[in-house]
Amino acid sequence: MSNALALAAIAGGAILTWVLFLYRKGRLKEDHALLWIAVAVSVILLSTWTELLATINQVVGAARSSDVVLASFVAFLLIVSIYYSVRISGLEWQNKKIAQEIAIMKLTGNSPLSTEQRKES
Amino acid sequence: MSSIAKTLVVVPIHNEAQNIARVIQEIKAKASDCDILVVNDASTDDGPRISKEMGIPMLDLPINLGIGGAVQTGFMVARSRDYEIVVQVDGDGQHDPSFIPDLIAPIEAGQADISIGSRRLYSNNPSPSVTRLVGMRFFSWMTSALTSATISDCSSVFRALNRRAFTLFSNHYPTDFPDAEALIAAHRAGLKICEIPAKFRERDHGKSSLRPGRLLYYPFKESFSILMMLTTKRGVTR
Repeated sequence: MSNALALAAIAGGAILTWVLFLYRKGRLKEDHALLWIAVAVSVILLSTWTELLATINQVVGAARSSDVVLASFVAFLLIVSIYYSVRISGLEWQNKKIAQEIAIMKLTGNSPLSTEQRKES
Repeated sequence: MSSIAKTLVVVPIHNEAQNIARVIQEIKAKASDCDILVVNDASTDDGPRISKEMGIPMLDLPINLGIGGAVQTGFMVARSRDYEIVVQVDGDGQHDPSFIPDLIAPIEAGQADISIGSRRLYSNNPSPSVTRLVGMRFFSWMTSALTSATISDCSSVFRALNRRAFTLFSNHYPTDFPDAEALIAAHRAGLKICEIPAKFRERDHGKSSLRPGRLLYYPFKESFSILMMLTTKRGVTR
């Protein structure tokens, strides 16, 4: 195993440990934790499973095995980033909706604009 | 305020303490048969307090949603309270409320679902900056091409909408820059759009929300939103 692959395996292990720690402390939800665990395990597998790395290396024609691990890691990060962009967009919509509902609820309590009041006046 | 007003004037504000009193006074004077609703988009100044002291009902958004989100909340209220027409007047004092009756007229006559107060059809309006003028003309051209209506000032949000239009927008309304995108969505929903000449004024106080950075971002975001909207049914609820 080259130094680069050993470093990648250590990084994968570190990510895995950190994610499990965050999950146990209740600072990461299951679905987010599982996503990062999948990334970390994939990096560890690619770094340590020599036959798998060699096969992928042959298929994509990379100059060095460590390039495959690095490229895979970048690809995983891109996928995770897009996933979180989708989640954040959804949360922004929910946030907007909640803010609007709160404002309307507060208006209902003390406004002269209610339909009944307008019709009675 | 009239006994049963059928028109609601929605005034979105974000840090407009120095302008809001004058805007409300002018609306009361020039459109006395309309109800007024101020939408406070998380102001940090005295604007909301001034509105409350003037006895104006106010929607108090707990977080800043931007102009689109604020106005949409006003549309939601108008829909639930059975108003027939909504007029949007900015809280910065640039829109002249004496044109509200002119804006409402084509809606009441059934000639249009949305009536836009156009600064370009009124001869004595102050000239916008060159960058703003280029953007305004480009998006007006794009909106005209996509709606088969002649729109000279798609960036004007001095608008009157009938129930059909504000019901559509209470469901779907762009958050950041609702100008052109909303008009195209309205056209796709089968709504009729018209323009009337309207006087616009320079801001007396405060700064526009379109700062240089956002002014650069605006054309890209607006163009992207419009192109994407054309490929989906988003925003169209017939």
